[in-house]
Amino acid sequence: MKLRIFFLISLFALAACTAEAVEEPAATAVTSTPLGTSPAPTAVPPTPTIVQIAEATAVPTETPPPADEPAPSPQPPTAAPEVEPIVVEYGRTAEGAFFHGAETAPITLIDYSDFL
Amino acid sequence: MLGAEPEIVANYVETGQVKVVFWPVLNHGSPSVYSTLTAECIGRQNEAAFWAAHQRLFENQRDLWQADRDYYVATAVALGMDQAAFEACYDNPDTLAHIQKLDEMRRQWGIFSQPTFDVNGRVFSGAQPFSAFEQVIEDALP
Repeated sequence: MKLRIFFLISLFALAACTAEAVEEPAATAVTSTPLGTSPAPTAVPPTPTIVQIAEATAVPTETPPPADEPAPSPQPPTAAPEVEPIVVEYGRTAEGAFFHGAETAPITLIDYSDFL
Repeated sequence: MLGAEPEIVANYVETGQVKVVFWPVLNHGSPSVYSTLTAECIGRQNEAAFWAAHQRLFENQRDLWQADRDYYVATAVALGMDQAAFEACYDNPDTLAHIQKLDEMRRQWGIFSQPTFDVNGRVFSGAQPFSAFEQVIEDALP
């Protein structure tokens, strides 16, 4: 009888020690949402990035030419675009009189004459 | 227009601003007819050569009062024209009819004296210095 009681007491003690070793999960907050709506998505904070600062690189400097080499000559200015020359045309009017000058000229000068 | 013509050509024709038309006027009888026939037949072989003939005939206008067919044939040959083709044109009645038709047209338009000039509808008569043409042309330019 005493032995049975001692066995039961040991058993209870063993169970109590086991329960303390197990961590209980943290209680999570439960938010109640109204019926018919979905909860707004929560913003996920960006993963912090580690920025590595690159080492400053040396700016290349122009090395002066050796003393015995001639300095480069300056570039000539860019030439203005060439204007296409006017083409003087020779032809005859619809009536058969001879003309010269651009057919699309804004002015027509008619010379009524002979050679005398 | 021969006196002012080189300046007109240099300042306005070669710049594309003016087109010059030569319209025959046959007011002086046979000299007008045969010299105009000559220029016409030279122009039919080469339109640019018409203007060379135009200048040559003007420069030698004193000869035209006495000039005969041989004179005009020699003029055409000197300007590089084919003689046979020129003579065929010169002797063709259709060529004469053509220049007479142009002459009649200017009469119908009221052009009776020579030289008469029409610059985009502005008409004036008599030989003019270049400055007169310059003023009229500049007024007419857009």
